[in-house]
Amino acid sequence: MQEYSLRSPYHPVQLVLGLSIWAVWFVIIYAGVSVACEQRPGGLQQGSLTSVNLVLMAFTMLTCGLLLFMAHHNWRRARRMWRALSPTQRFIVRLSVALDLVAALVTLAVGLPAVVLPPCL
Amino acid sequence: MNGEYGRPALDPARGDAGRRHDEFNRVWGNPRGLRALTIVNHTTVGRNFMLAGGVFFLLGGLMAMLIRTQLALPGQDWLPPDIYNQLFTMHGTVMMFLFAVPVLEGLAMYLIPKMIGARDLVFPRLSAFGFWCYIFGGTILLASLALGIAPDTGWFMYTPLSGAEHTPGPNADFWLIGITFVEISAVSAGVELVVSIMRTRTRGMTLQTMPLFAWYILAMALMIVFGFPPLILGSILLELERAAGLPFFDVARGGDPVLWQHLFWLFGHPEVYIIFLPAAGIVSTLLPVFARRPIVGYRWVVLSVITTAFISFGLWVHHMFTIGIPQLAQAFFSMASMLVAIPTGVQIFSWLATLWTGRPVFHVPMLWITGFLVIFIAGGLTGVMLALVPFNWQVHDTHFVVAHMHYVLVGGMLFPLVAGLYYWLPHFTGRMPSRTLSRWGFWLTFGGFNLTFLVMHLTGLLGMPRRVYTYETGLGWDWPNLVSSVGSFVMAAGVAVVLLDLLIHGLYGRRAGINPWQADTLEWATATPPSPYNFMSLPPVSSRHPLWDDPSLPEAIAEGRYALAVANHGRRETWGSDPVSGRVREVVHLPGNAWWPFVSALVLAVMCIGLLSKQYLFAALAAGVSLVLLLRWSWENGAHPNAAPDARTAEGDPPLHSRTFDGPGLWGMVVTLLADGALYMALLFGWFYLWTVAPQWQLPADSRVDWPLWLLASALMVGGWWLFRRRVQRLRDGEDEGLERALWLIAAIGLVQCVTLVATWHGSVLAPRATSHDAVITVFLLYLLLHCALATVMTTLQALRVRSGYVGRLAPYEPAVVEYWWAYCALVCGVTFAAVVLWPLGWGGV
Repeated sequence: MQEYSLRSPYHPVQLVLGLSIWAVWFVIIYAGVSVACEQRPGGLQQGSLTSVNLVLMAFTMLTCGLLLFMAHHNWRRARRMWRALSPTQRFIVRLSVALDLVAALVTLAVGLPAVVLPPCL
Repeated sequence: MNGEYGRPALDPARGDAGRRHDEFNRVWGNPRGLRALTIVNHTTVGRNFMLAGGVFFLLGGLMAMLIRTQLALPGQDWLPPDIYNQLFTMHGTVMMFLFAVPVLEGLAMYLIPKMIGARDLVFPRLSAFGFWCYIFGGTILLASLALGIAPDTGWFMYTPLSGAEHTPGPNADFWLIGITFVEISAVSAGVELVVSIMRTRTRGMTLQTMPLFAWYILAMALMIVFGFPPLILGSILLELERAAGLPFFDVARGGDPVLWQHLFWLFGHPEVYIIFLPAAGIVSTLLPVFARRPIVGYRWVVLSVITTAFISFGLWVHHMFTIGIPQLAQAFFSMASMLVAIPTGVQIFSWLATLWTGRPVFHVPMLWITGFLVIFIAGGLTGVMLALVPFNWQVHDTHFVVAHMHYVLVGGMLFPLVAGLYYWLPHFTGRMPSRTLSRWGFWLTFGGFNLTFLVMHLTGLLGMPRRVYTYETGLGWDWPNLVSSVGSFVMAAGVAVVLLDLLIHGLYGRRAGINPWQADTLEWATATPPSPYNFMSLPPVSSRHPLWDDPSLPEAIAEGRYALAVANHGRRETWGSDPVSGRVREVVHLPGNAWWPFVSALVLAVMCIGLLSKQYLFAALAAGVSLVLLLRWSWENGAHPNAAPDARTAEGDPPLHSRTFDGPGLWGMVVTLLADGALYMALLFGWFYLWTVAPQWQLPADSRVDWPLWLLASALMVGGWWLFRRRVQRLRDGEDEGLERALWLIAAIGLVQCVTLVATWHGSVLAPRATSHDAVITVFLLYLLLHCALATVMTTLQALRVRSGYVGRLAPYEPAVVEYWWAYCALVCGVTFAAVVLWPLGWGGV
């Protein structure tokens, strides 16, 4: 088996990296909304067009973009050396890329309410 | 270091196999009588976990029967409200903490080494210690019920009800101390299972050929490592509030009861999946065997297991939808709660596809699997309903939630567990269950369960709240309650029949042959019941179905045709392998039977009793004794003659792990620090939460932290770690001259650092009983002091071990392990300084 470094697309850490990024994003948006509403409540008349929502949406899109980039980048790098990879390394690549895509999808879905709901109701 | 232990030539003669079995039994055998308390073997410990869990299940079930008897008819009050409160609290507590988690951990402990081709778990004494903590903690908790002073504020112990003002007696203390004690067992099993799965798989068992059950248990164990610490922290804080008056959940002094809910459900919701995942692992193991084909979509199942493990940590607030959290935040959790159904759905479709494309045979375990599919899918659907915020508000705290919870937990855990018990029964005892009794048991349980809980959805929709000890007639709740109570007794009869079957099959059951279900996984390659060493020799594995590939594998293993087939060196050995490729890297030598786990747990139980009776000096003394015992236990490790009497290995075999830099202990330390880090993160969360959200957060006018001393303490810790790191690097380069002196120096730095921390506390103006602000800072200081003191003690011990010749160039393993502890301490010292001293500067604080 080819040796692997932490950044290689077939390192097992890739299996948890994408969803760990999702977890950090999730904690930040929840804490962000809670703190924002505690410090500056109101803004109901604006609906979802508030600065809090806009920051949340931007952060969601950025995180989602990062996860999609990771999936694409890892897949491209792995394809370049595909023949040299062992079946286990291929298994890790396929799984981790799929997990990055799942994390991107979950980020998008969980962040979606920020488009329609006011932050502090 | 190779020498005289060559692999024996293959000799299929029975006499040779018998001689080798005797030799292995001398090393691995279990003593009898009183010395049975010293057994650390995973088969015995895992079985004991399951047996004890079974007893707790029956006791919890008995409490449920009493509750259902009371509620069968309106207006009954033969159970007075205070006893009723104790019963429903203890029913939930016993089922969740003393039955569900331990019994599944026990099953995992029993099976995992056998499935991955190992001879034992990687830290057997830790398993035994965990078991005794579980037994003593459970006994303490149940003793409170016998004394009529059991916890009575619900299994989630909400503050302020569980605070000293509203629950002044010892009831809540029993929960907080007893459950924390039991959780030591859960976390230690989590660490044990993670490291065992990652590092002791047999030669060639890669990540992709690992049995699915091992994937599920790996996910569960990691979830325990991250999920249990928030509750441990919450319990410590609440007990500190009750016993010492430190206000964390008291609004008037700057605390917030909602913080308890966050800490509890940060554990509580992942807990549901901690229970469900291993049960689903049982299904994914059994179903292909009875469908007589490999599972459809192995990779999809692994994908969904990992996804579930993560997303289940993002659902906890759906237990708190009614407490006034902003709707947008609720919507995040609502979405996550619905999304988690998708990976579960992927698994269900994989199981259905396996059945569809296979040639299923319907033995008894399959009945329970079918029952699981029906009940769990129904429970999952009501779960999606409850994830919707408006519906959740309507049925919150009604019997609908009780019904949903039982559909998920009984359907998702008990049914697969019983399927697994029937499936592995021939493995446990060497005998088959009764066809007739087992079928009666299933149908009575299945029918009784649905009669009880299907109707209970309606009871809840009709508005009956949870936890009421009686109700008036005429509210429409009479007949559904009666039906539920009748159903519960039918279910109890089903459980009794299963129990009867399990008991009598040991006497009259048909003898099981080798691999009676024609299974594919390695646990069926052991003898049934298994010998303490599992495998006479450790086979290489190249596919997910070793026994389907080679049905004669059990005989070949028993004849000693494969690796590590000698035990005349007196060591307990198994492979240490690469976590990804399964390439063999070391020979892991495992510790044998010992009194340390039992005695240490016993003294910790004494400490708990001291805390419960508020004899704090006595409790501190017991804590000190237990620390000495644990350190003495750690002395017999690595190159100590009792751990590895002889360092030589067979020609061609890798070295012993204690003679390398990457043994399982290093992994054990990392996983332990992950758990410790999760606890620390929960504390940090509590600090920031109170700062930003607590309704009456207050900064004491005269509060002052002695920050220069705190900074000095942090700098000393970082300096100590840097020195330690340098010494380990030199050791890696083969240089051990001056090691002992360097370790003494680092220990001295640690000691000075501890003194500086004490001086910081002394020099700071803190009133921890007056405000949450000062109370949390006090806990931070105590946390740091405890960790830095342990770093000092461990380093002192290392210096002594160098002097004794147990650590050095030829046995360099332990300093590398301790270095991780120093690194962690340096990190938390720095982060805490930033959080307590620097953060307030930018947020209007001191």
